[in-house]
Amino acid sequence: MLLTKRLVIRRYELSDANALVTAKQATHEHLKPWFKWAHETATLETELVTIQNFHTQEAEGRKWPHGLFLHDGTLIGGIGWWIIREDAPSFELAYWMHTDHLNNGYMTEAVHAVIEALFSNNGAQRVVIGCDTRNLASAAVAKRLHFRHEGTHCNERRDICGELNDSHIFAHTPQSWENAKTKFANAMPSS
Amino acid sequence: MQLRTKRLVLRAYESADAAALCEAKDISHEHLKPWMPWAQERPTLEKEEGTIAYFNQKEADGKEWTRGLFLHDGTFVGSSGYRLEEADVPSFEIGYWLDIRHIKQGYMQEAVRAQTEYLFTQKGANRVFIQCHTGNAASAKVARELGFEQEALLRNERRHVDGTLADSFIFAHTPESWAKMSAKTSSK
Repeated sequence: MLLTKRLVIRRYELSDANALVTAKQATHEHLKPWFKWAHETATLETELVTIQNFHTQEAEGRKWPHGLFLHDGTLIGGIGWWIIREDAPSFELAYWMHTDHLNNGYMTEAVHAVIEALFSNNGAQRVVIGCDTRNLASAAVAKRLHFRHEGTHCNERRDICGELNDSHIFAHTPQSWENAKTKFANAMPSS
Repeated sequence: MQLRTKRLVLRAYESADAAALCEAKDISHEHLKPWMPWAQERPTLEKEEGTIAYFNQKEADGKEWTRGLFLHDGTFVGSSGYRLEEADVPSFEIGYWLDIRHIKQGYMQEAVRAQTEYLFTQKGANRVFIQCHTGNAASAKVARELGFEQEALLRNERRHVDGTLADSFIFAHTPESWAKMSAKTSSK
């Protein structure tokens, strides 16, 4: 579990299934272009299975899906990371946000906390955000956190409509993350 | 799949190729060791028989196709193959190495060109890419000379054979960029 100024980032419990249904239903149209799972209609039944699958993935030690909650317990989105390579530990991150809570900087806050944990506690040497080049909201989070745009892979994936599309690769190394944190500190001398 | 180019035949390994593979890896040991995780120890005939069985297994699984590169007279000069990355795109990654006795003749360029052409025209590829250590100039040169675009430099992307963290280049072609490239070279 990670605690930030405004958020709790924790694994899902089965008791979160209802909140997940509400959030996914409200966000359905917003997420549909980017996530395969957002094509199905969320029901209590599907989300109980989703959460059980999350627990299995976590138990296998490859993937760590987490919910984003305000301190009052409101579910506002999700963030997950998985290991890409073990010998040079690298992780990829993905995230989604409930439309009611967009534009508050919550995701930037959450990603900040997760990458800090990956670099300082999990021995990460590389943290990656890969996103569809049209997914501007996702890229904006990476840019705000000073991820370096390492390149764009042409025809890397098919989108939900079956169209080929390109992916941005954003990444941080321990060194670039330290540099970014110095910049954040200088930009916010009062905090 | 067997491909024939002006100077080469690219074909599946047979168990009878183990001796040639072993000799090529042994003579090229110092040349390959800095780049290939499998080249850290000298080859033995027995290990190379295992390597060929492994290639055949991978091919049967439908994920990876490794070809021996032979001159038309049957001389073994190197190895190259491709691996299915994303089936729904589909995208493929190409890898390769040459016997030290046959470098600098443009053989690998010829072999990679033939495979790239095959993947785009026969296998419906929408993306073909090459990934290499940023310090592996010979490997990068093959990609660049075939007009693969350098899409990215991925930092700390791999653990190098000496244990250090290393960066990787990603070079890629799409059907469009490959068609342009082919038109350019055939008009020469």
